Amino acid sequence: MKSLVASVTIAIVTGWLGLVLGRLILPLPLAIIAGIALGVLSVTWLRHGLALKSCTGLMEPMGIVLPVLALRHVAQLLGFDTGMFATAELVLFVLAYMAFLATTFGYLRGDAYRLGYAPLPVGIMVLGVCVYGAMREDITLPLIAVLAQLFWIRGWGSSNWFDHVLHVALLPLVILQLGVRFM
Amino acid sequence: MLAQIAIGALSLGMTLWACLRQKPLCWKFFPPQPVQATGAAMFHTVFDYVPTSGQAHSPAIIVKDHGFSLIWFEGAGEAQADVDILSADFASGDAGWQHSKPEPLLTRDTIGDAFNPAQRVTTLGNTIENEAVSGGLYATVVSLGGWAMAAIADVRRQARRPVTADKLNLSPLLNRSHLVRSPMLAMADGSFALPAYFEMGQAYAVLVRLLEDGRVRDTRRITGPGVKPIQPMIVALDERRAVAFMRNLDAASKHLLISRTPDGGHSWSAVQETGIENPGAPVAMLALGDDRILMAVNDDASRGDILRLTLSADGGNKWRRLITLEEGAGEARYPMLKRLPDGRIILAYSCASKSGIRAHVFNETWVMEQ
Repeated sequence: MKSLVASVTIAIVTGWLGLVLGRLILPLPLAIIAGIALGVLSVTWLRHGLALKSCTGLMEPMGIVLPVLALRHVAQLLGFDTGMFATAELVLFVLAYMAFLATTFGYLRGDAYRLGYAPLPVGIMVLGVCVYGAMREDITLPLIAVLAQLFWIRGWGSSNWFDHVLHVALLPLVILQLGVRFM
Repeated sequence: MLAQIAIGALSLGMTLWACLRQKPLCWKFFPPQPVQATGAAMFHTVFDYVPTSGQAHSPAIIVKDHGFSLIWFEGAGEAQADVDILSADFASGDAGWQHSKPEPLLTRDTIGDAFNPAQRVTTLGNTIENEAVSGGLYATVVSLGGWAMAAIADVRRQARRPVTADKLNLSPLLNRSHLVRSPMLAMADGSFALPAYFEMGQAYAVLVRLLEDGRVRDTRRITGPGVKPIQPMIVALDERRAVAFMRNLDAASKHLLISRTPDGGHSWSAVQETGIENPGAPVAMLALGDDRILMAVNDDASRGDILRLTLSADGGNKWRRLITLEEGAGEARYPMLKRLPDGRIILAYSCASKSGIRAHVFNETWVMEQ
């Protein structure tokens, strides 16, 4: 199951990448086909290729946040209303995430990442995300948090819950998004 | 709103289930067993290996029922793209200690293919035995960059060949910058704890607690203000107390670092400098029981070529030099000490500035006679 989850994750993220890059030169329907093709190829024919092995070695654990956000973006491209994160939310996320990483580097006191190994702190954090999701009438964040809890408990992927809900690739992506909004 | 309430309820159920099924960690060490010095003193050099080219460095010892194995990394140079893990098996017979021809044990390709999905591994580093699993190893692997981008891979083998590999989840930065060097610590419940270290930013040592399936369950940092402790070498003194000696990554520092735990590794004192000089090299230690510790150490701040055996009779507070093992023949560093089931002691280290691996077997009577 663990390897299946990893393969599906890679397929979704590479497929999304294929779609986004395809959109630069292709109409949406063809870009979607290109994305699906790249996603399937990434876990079949390209699976043992150097490029994919390097990307996997560099990016894992990808958790579920990247594939869920990728699917959310695809839904947006297809015209579904998935809502938007407010600018203040994105700024707060960047600041909180940087503080979180700073505790790992030892620049701030504490060890926030350690909380992600234990069921009770994880349960409290997930519940907090669910309450926040209910307040803003959003399903994406609670879905990510609870799916991450399920995968973490079942041992499908990282042994730390934070690895399922966060990924360092989010940081440049969110900062880029903020830059676009402020321009 | 209904969907969010349903998801929240599902989460509550999972939290309850996870809390109920979780077994609390045992915070007691397996206490060291005192071994009395009996029989005649013996000291044999059993391995003096020089690779045909390149470097050989950072040996580890795997104790077996009827001997031991040495494993080390070898290639054109440290962190180079041709480094693999080699091993040699040792057995004691009528003709003394004999060893097999050194052969590759883990290669970058075999480890890379053992990950699922497969990953690229560009170089390998410090590798130690996973004492909780037969044939298990913890290897320092790099997929991109240098040691600061390394991760620890839990490698399981069958008939020498790696069959599975999983990176330990120890940092939110893509699992990066954790390395291993020192042997695991046996816990009273039969589990093992893994000393590791984080090399980026304000570097620190960490004691990793693992579940039976090899997944990380908890970590405890060993750190302190103004120091960068890495390569923790930890020995238990009894069920609750243990002492950790560490190298300081801060190049300006010229002394070993120390931390102690009074509660089975649950908490650690702030890391402090000791009075023991050190040129920036790890130490090896072995608990001899009754608060006695044997240490192999580079204890001259300006000379990595001097490797000594020292002994503490008070749990690591005071040390007495026993013998100078190496001096003037290039750096002799990265020692590793282990005890065989019959009480004999193995010491291995890299010598001639990473140009070879040397190993000795001796007994406690020899130690006491120094």
